[in-house]
Amino acid sequence: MSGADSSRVIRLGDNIDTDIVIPTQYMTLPSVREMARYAFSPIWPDFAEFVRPGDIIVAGRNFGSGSSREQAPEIIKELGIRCVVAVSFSRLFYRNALNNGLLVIESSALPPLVDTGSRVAVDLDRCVFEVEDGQDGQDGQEGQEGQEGQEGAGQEGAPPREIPFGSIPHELMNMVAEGGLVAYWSRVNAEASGIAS
Amino acid sequence: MKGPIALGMTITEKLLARAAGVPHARPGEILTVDVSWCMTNDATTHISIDMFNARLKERGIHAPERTVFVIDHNVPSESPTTTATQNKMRAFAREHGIPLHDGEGVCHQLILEEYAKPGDVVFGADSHTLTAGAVGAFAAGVGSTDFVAAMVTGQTWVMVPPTIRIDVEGTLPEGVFAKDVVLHMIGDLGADGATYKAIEWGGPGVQALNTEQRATLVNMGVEAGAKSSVVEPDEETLRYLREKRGADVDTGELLASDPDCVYERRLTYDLSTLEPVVAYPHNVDNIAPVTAYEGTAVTTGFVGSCNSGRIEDLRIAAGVLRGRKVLPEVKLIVAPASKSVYMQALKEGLMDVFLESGAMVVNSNCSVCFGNQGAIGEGDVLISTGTRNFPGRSGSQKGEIFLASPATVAATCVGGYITDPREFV
Repeated sequence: MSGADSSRVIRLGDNIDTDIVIPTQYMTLPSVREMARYAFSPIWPDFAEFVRPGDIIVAGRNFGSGSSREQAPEIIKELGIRCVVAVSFSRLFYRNALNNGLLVIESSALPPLVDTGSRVAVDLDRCVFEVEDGQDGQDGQEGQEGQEGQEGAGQEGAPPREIPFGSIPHELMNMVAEGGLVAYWSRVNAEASGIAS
Repeated sequence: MKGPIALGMTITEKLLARAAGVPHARPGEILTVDVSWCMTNDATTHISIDMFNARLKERGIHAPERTVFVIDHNVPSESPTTTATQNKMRAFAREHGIPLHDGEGVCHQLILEEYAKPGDVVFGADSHTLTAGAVGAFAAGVGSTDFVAAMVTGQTWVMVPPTIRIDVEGTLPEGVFAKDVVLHMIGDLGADGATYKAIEWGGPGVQALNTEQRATLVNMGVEAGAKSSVVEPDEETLRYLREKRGADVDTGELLASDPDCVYERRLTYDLSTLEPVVAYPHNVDNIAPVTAYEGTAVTTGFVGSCNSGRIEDLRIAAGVLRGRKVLPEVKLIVAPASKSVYMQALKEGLMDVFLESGAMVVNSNCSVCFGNQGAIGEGDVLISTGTRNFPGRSGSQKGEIFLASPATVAATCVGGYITDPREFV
């Protein structure tokens, strides 16, 4: 992910538990793609239609609490969401996300500044969010059609606000970039010609 | 033991430093640790097996004898689909020489009875894995990917957590039990109050508890978000291990926190001041005195789970039910946490008490706490010794779940409404 492109924000609240990300009744569907149609449906029934590849989720406290199920981060990744930013994560979700190649970033500073429809660039090299000014959530749940014209409009020249976040260890970033732990290990194994270290 | 232990560390820091072969561990550091035990159960193992077969087969399994497969979530199987999933697990365990426990009890109870020892590092593909902290091990839940990586490499990465120390003084009053203590703690910390952190239980109040009671305290740490939860091992730990595994058992290494270690936060409880509580719907940190909900009608009761299905819990419930009847309109289900708990309860005559009272005794499994037995329907109210009260956890999303001690559950099932157990003991 390059830091240059901004993403549309989808803003969610506190305590988004794994039963909200993927309700238990859909976990037996044969593929993650099919499960993804029901992502977040308990709080946002048409979420899967609303989301566009490249969006980012920004949420409050305790994102991903509850079960250790890996379908939760897999579905978010399947929907094309670039990363999840939250005030805090459940530790099981945090690990499962990184292990499945979904970038997750903790920040208490960003969530209060953005709404659904805000635009934020995630600069991983400098570890800063660049928040574009002048967004007021007009691309929210109620106004989801006919919004193509508004992207990045009207605010040229206004410098983005920079919000720093904690750096992510290099090895973990590599793992995320390669699609997760199993993919990473497969490559490392292949390079080591299958010799156990 | 790979290196000397430096001073000024909590037990959790020592456990991780030891497993990483480094002299020191500080909160925030990421360490690669050797895993003593990797555990997984039938809720998610098929995902791990698929990953292994697709991409990691050539690598093999690091130590099959240190990997433990448990079939405990849907036992006996309720459908051909479940059976097929479990058969995959059975075949994989057979092929690779992995110990398999098939219907012998809840995975965390089996790890406690047969595997984990002081000084060990346990990773399990289940959120309540931290239960093994009751015998002085570092134990944490992971997802299927982390499980597979640990099974294949024998190692995993872990960020050293800061520790919240819980000092416990005094003795429990009549009618108040370990379950009430841990619910008080979750109410005070909140559902995310210990996220990423380790919890350490200590003080004379904990030293006076047996290992079964300590497991109840440790197990629900994840309901406050904790990575791990631990009790410093002591004479009681050795007694428990010898009772379960024989006199010549390997008792591991008994570590303790240094007097000059650093805690992020400290909480103190005087057990003698506590009262029976419930976690009311639909969050585990909704804690209120039982008296605040007294009179609320219930339709179902459950005594069991990795939190409260041990012999100690069955004794408490049977103590209330002896000579009494469960209200005919209420269905009380009892699931001993393991076969050995079941057999002990038989020996002590507890099963007679349950059956004579009108309770239903089922096999050792996750049962009502996972919703695979005794699922509640719309409008039902369940009072349970289980781990979570989220909507839909034990059946219908339109039912309600209260969590409480075995005594409160038993007393409630006698009258059919939420009841303060202190009237019964």
